[in-house]
Amino acid sequence: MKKALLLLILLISTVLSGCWSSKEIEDLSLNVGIAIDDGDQLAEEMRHIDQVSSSQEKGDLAVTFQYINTSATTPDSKGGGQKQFTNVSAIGNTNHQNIRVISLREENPIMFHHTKVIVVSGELLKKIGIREIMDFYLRDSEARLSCLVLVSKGPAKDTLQSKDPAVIPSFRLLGIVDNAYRSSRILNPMTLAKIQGESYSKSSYLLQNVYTEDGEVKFSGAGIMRGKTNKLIGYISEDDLTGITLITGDAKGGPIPAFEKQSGKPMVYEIETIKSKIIPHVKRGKISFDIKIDSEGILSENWKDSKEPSEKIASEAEELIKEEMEKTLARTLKKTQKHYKVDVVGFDNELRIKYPKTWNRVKDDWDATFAELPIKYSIKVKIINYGNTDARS
Amino acid sequence: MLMNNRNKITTVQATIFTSSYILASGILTLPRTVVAVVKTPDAWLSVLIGGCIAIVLGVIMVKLSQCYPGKTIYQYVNILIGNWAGKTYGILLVIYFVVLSAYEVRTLSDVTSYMILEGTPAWAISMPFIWIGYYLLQGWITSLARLFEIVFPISVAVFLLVILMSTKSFEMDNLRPFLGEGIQPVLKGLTKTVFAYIGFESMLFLVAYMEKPEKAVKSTIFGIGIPILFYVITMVAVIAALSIDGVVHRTWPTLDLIRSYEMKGLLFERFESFLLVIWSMQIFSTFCITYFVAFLGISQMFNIKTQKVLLGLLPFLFLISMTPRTIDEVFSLGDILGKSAIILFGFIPLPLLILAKWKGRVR
Amino acid sequence: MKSLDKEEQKSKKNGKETKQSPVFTGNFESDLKKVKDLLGENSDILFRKFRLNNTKLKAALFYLDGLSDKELIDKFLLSSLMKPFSETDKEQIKQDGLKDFLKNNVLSIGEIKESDEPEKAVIEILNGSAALIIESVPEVLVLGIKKPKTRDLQEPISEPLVRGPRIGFTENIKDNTAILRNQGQNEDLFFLKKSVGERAKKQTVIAYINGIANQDLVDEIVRRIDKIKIDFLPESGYIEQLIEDNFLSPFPQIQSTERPDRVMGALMEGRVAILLDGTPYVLIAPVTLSMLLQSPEDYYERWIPATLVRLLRFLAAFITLYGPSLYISFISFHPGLIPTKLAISIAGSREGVPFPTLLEAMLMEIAIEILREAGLRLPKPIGPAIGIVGGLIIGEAAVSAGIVSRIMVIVVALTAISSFAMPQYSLGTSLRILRFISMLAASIYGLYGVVLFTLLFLSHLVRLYSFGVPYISPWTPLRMKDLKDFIVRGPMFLMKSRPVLLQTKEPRRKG
Repeated sequence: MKKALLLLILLISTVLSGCWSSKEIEDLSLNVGIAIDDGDQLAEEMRHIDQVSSSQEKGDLAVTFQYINTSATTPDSKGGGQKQFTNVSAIGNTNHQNIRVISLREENPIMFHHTKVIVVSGELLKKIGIREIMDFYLRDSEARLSCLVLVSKGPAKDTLQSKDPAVIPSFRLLGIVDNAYRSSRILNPMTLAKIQGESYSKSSYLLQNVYTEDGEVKFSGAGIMRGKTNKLIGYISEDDLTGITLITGDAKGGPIPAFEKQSGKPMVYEIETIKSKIIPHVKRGKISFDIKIDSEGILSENWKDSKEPSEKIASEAEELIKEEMEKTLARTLKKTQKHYKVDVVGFDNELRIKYPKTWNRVKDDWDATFAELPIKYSIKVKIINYGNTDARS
Repeated sequence: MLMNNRNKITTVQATIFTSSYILASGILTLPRTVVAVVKTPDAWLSVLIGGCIAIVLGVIMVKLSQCYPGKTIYQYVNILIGNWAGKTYGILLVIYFVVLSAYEVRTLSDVTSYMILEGTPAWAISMPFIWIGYYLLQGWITSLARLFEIVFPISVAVFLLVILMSTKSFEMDNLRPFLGEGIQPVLKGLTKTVFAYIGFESMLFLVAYMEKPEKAVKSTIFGIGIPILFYVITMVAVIAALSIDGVVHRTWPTLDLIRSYEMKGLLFERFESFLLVIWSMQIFSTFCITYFVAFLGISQMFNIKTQKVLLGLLPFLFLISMTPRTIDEVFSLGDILGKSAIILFGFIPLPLLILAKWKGRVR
Repeated sequence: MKSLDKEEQKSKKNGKETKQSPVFTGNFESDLKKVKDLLGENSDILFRKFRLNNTKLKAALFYLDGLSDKELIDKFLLSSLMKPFSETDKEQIKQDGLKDFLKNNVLSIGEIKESDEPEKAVIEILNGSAALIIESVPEVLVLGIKKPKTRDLQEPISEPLVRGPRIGFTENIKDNTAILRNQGQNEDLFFLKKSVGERAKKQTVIAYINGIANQDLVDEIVRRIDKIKIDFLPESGYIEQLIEDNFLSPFPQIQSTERPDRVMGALMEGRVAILLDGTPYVLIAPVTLSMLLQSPEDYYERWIPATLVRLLRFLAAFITLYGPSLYISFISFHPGLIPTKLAISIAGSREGVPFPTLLEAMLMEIAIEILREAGLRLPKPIGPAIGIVGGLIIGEAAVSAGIVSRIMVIVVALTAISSFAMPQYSLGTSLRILRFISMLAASIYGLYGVVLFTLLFLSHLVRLYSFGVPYISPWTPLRMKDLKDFIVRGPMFLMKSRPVLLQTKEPRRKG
């Protein structure tokens, strides 16, 4: 009896004093996207918000948080044309400070569980390494490690704008990444989880670049991150990105156009399967690479009059497409290897796996070594289907 | 009244008992601690070998316990090495188990308060946990074994599901090259991996309560084999997804593995909560076992009524679990526990076994 | 309680002392008086004085108005007693004595007992028998002419089936034992009779199959029933509560059922049934949790649909227990764990709801419990109407008034329906009770609270026994043999063994 009483008292006391961590969902701002800009550059523009009693004139980071305007999403209030999201910006020295500044200005605290994308301005990444910028989000347990990381050539906060009030810009960015199976110009998503590994390993890597203008966005090429410093050193264009995805084998689903030599009429090849291999060779201490690409696909568009038998069209097209791919590869490799002098494709990885000893010797200055290495490539293209026209008889 | 052997446990239960005991706080941090030492993607191999060593040690303990059927280590160690030495060893064991038990509670409250219950005080997290353990233990060893029998299969299923779903973020390149730097780093990792199998000592007590003690060896091998499988799968999945460079810098790498993917189109997109749920259930298992074994030791060595001991231990558990102040202190407490376990259960049982066999022969 | 009992016993003794000699003497008037004194002024007890024809002996017949078979008394008893005896009869009377003659030659009734104690005779009268007092005979003849008030055999209301026998137990224990006998000719089906109750005795029957049921189990049940000290047993629920293992547990530890096929199935597994006169609810012991989740129909249907239905029931049980508490923990503790789109729509629908989720959930759950209770107590034609009115209108109005969110209404409704999907009403009730505890736990600790609740709940379950059988078997202790009749209902040809933990005398089924 006494025991039961004791338990009861204990239970009641916990119930009464309980609910320490409870916070109702509607009392939180559901953050879905974050844009991080260079504070110095945006200071002028954003001054008006922070000028009241802001302790510093400018800060290193200007962070924009996008959260969902839940009252605009209820079924009852649909069609009001209300904006479904709200963007709030703050300038400060660190991420965490900025978040707390928001708490001074907004009704509800921000919650990062649903953050889908973090867009970092390229200008900022040229100044500060990505490890430093992302440290807060990696350390904190709220932000998900599956959150995407993108680079923006212009101001990052503009990528979180949209003209159409029904569109939530963060979700739009997320949706575009999911289109990777439709295009060879979208990189494998770089998530926070991968950033952690990349930022500690010394190898260079790419971050998908977002181009933005007047509330419209486009995925356009990628930012090149140098592994040693974790800073951005430049961009590669959309076309060059195709070269990268061809080598990594991620170009599945992307159309490759080729132009007929005499007429200049286009033929489009859609990649169905692509197998690519980077084969490292070490001979007498000399490193070289072979790239082997083996692709099968569909002739998805053909402007040329097809009076000829389809076998002939196919072999012609295969040849043209192969040349086109080779051109792309050459251009891409030139850009990364010779111009930027970084290995963003993952040659280092293959070397590390196949020749760990050699790798240990060169790993400290890999990007410089890589710039001088010979790379050969061979491409095989096979058209296996013609769609609904021009079938072989 | 049907007497369904209220004080005996089946072979399956003994197996699950051992597995539940081993799988605990370690699974969330193991990839980090091992990779930090091994530094190559072969860390999982180190875990595998560590497990085999644990099996050997476990079998030694079973053989030792089988020399004294129906008796736990607390009872037969006195006969074996004399009253004083035996008592000392017994008391050391009790201290070890009490501290280990408190350590489990502490890990639980730390992870829970950091991951899912920010703002809830630690005492509020650990108190009900300890009380429930107390309630369960009143049902003696059969209740424990039964609870584990329910919880463990669920844990296994959820765990496998959650890990399997992470295959999307696998990158095999992170696991290669295999033995690129030879076996040396793998062996270095053993110093850490054997710790992960603390719990193989359960057989020192379990054999006395088994329906069929002759099957104890089998249940030890399976009981340790299941955690080996768990650990290896975890290591492989975590390294493949996060790469060694990533793993070393994450505090709870296994949790991060689950946090690194989202499944669209299901009722849930995120699954780390599932992992935390089964993990806290496994912590509960380990906590209950250590609590039980500590109380068993006191009541058997000093012939005190069980209820009193059980209740008397509660405040100690709570206070010890509150002692470490920072997370570093918690982790170093874990290290100390690991080292003392190696001394208590790694080095001592073999001489005891030889002694027991020798005594048996003399008689 | 105990002191009261003692006082009663004392007063009883005192009452006895005031009466004269406790046995019948053969003196008609004094015998008559004894019986009358004991019976008191009861309007429903009839007695008829008459003379045994051409013997001049006085006789009297006592019987209960309404309970005794009047037609039998009028047409056969009285007529044969008043009919003149022939010469040969008189010869016979001389030889056998009057009493035996009457028994052997006159009273054409199957059940005749003799009693020389007025007290016993009175109990028999109150049971519906007739008592015949005859001058010069120092015993009373008790004639079993009870015509019990009973209703027709009907389909059990609380456990309807789509496929299965339409017969249910009634309030009459004799009918009930007969129904069990009728389930199949089996000479091993044993009925142990006991009468329980201190002030008003009632018949209970312990049924088991000799050769299957473990003798220790039967002995234990008999022991526990013998230990029952109570004034009166109105219903078998009293027995259930008086002999169960753990009175603090929210779980029913003895199964009660109206279905003879369920009882027979249990008996064949080696369990024991307890029948009580006056109630259609028969108790089955020992019981396990999985039994409460099963319906006899599982066995009548083919095994694949039966298995799927069982899975559905487990799911329903899960929702009943965890539905609202998971909702609470996701909404007010871990908004990060639900899909983003869902989180947005929930947050949108909760916009403007003034209460925290726990209070919201509690409000709705309690409202639904009240509705359920009201629907039960109301006269049958109104009940369902009230349910619909209450459920639909209150739910809809609460949402449009902005007191609760739409999604909460869905959660609560789903939970309520799930709890009614339990094949045993008592289990549904206990799960509903536990649901409130799990909601509280979730509102303090979120998901961790749900885990704590689960651990507590399981700890309780593994410690619970029903007559020595672990309540949660066959889940644990794991017996592979029993698993095929747990979540899965295995195909018939596999169901060859009885549950291991019942330790039956004959572990394999015949055939």
